[in-house]
Amino acid sequence: MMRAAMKRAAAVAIAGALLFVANAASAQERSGVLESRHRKYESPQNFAFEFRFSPYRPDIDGDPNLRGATPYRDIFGSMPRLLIAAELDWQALRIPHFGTIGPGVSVGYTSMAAPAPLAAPSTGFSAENTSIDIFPFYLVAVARADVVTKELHIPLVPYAKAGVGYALWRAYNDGGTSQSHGVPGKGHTYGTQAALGVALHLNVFDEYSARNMDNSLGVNNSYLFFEYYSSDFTSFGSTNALRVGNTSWAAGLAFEF
Amino acid sequence: MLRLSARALAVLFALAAFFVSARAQAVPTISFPTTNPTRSSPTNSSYPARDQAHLPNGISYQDCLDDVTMHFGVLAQNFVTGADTLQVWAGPSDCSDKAARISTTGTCQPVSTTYTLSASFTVDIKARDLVAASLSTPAPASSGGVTTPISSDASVCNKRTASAGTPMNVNFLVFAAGGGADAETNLAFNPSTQGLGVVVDTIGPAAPTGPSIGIGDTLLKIQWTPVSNASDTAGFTIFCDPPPGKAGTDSGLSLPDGTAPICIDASASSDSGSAIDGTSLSPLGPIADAADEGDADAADAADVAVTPNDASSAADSGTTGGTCGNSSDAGVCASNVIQPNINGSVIAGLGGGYYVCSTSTDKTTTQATVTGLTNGVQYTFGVAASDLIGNTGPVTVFPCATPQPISDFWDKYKDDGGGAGGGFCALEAVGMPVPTTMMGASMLVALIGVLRRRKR
Repeated sequence: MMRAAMKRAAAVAIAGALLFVANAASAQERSGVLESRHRKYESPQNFAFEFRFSPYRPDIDGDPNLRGATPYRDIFGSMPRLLIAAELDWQALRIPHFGTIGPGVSVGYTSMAAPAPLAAPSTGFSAENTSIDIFPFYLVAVARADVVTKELHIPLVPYAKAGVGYALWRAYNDGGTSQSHGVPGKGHTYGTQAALGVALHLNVFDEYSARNMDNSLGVNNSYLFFEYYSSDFTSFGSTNALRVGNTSWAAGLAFEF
Repeated sequence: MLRLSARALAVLFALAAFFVSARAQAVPTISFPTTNPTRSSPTNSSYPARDQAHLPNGISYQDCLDDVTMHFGVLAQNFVTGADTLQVWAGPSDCSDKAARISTTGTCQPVSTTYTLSASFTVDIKARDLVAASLSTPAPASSGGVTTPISSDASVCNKRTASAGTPMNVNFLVFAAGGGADAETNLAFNPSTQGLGVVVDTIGPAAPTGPSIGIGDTLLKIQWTPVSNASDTAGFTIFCDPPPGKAGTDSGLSLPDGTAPICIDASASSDSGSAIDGTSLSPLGPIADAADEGDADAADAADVAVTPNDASSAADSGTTGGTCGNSSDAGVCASNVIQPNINGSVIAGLGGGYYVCSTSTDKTTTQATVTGLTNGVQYTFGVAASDLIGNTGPVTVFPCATPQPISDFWDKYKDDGGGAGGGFCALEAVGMPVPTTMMGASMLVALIGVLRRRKR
C-alpha cells in the first residue's frame, strides 16, 4: 500500500516536472528568449536606402527680384512635375530606447518642359520646347526613432532630417542651353533642407518574408514612408539665385540594411 | 572510173552527213555568273558592286546617272569560230521568244553589241540601256515589228515615272552562223536558260504624307507620316532650299529639262519590285495645319506658325491615285527645285547633294529638326523616302516656313528681372546621363553594403 502510494507520488512528481519544464519552455518562447536567440543571427544594420518620389514645383517665382512676375508659372503652368530621388543614410549611431542617428545624402532629378512662345511681336507658340533640368542634392542628419516599433510594437518610425542642400540646374531649348542678355541659363543654388516624416514598418505584414529578405539580402527592415520636406534653395538669400527649391511631400520605399 | 566516182560521191555524202550531223548535235552553249557582275563607270573603273542582299542585279537611279556598265564573263563551248554570235536582249517579257523581239506586241530590245563567240569573253551591259528597255513599248505595225530602241543617253534616267521597280528579263541569245539579217530564224537553241533577272528601279518609295512644319529659333521642325505599305523604305532624305548657311545665295541649280512629277498611279507599288495595289496607298492629304498660323494654342505648338502666303496653295500640291502634283504650286515657296512629287533622286543629285539637308537611315523616323537656319528667311522643305537600292522617292513638300526668335523660359525670367545664371553647371559639362549615373552610384553603394552584410 505504501509502495503503491510512493509510486503514485513519484508519477505525479515526474508528471509535474515534465509539465513544469514544458511550461517553462513555453514561457521562455513567449517571453522572446528564443526570438532573441534568433536575433543573434540577424544581419547587422548600418544603412538605410530610400527611393523617393515627390511632386516638384520650384519656387522660382518667389524670387523678390521678379517683383511679382511669374515667369515659371507663365511658361510651365502650375502643375507640379515629378521628382525622382534616392537617399543613402549611414546609421552611424544607435541610441538605446530611441533609434538611429547618422548622416544621409540624396540626389534627385526633375525636369519641366513646355512649348516656347514666339518672340514678340509674333504671337503663339513655336515648335521648340523650353525646359529646365534640376538636380537637387542634399546632405542631412537623419534621426529615426525606431523605438516605436522595437519597444512599443507600433509599426511606425517617425523621423526627421535637417541639413544643407544644393541644386544644379540648366535652362535650355531645342538649340541648347538658353541665352538671354548674354547670360547662359545654367548655374547652381544652395540652401537648407529639412523634413519630417513617418515610415510604416512593412515587416509586420509578413515576418516570414522579411526574415528571408534579411537572410538572403541583408535587408533588415522595409518601410513605406511619407514625409513633408522643404528644400529652401535660395543660396541663403542671394539676389542672384534661381530659386529651384520646393516645399512639398514625398513618399517612397526605404530599406535598412 | 564511174564506179570510183560513185564511191567518191558516197564518201563525200557520208562526210557531208557526218559534218551536218555533228553540227546539229554540237549546239553552242554559254555560261556566265548571273549575280554580282563587276561594274564600272566612265569615271570609276571599280564602281561599287550592288548590295547582294537586295536586288543584286538592280539598276538604281544613281547607277543610271553614273552610266554604270555591268560586265559579265562568258564562257562558250561548241561554237563555230567566227560565225556564231551572241546578243543580249532585255524586256519585261521573255526575250528568247522571237515574238517578244520582233512583233507588234513585243517590247524587248537589244542591250548589247553583237559579240562573236569565243571560248571566253566579256559582255558589257549598260545600265542606261536597261533603263531604256524598261521604257520600251510595242513597235507600231508600220515598223515591221522592230522596236525602235529608246535613246539611252543621260536623259533616260529621268524618264521613268512608275515608282514600282520593273523586273526585266535579260536574255543572252546565241545565234548560229548564217542567220544573216534575220538572225532570229537561225536561233541555235532555246536560250531561255541563259538569262538573268534585273530590276530597273530608279524611283524610291512613295512620298510620305501628312507634312507639317514648326518654327523655332534658327531651326525648323518637320513631321511626316511614312506610307505604311512602302515596305522597301529604308530611310528618309530631307531637302531644303536654301540649305543652311546658304540664305541669300543663288545656287544656279535647277531641275533638268523635262523633269516631271512622278505619277503614282493605280498600279504603283512600294518600290519593292512587286506590285502593290495603288488604291491602298495613302493619298497625300492637304499639308497639315497650313491654316493654323497665329493660333496661340500651346497644343498646336508642334505644327504651327507657317508663313501665311502660300500654305494653302501648297496644300494641293501632292495627291496620289493617278493625279500628279502641280509642280507650279511649289513656285510660291520660292524653290525651283523642291517641288511636289519630283523624283527625290533628281534633287539629291543636283550640285552634289546641294539641297540635301539631312538624311536618316531609320525607316521609322517621322520627324526631323533642321538647325543652322537664318531667322527671317523663308525656307522650302521637302522629304522623300529612300529605299534599299539607293533611290530617293517622290518628294513631299512642306508649307513654307520662316524661322523666328523665340522667348523661352530663360528669356522671360531675365526679362522679368531674374538675376541668376551664368554659373557653373557640371551636369552640362559632363552630359545628361549624370542623374542616372549618380543614382546608379548610390544604388551601387547600397548594393555593396548589402553584399558586405551577407558575407558576414
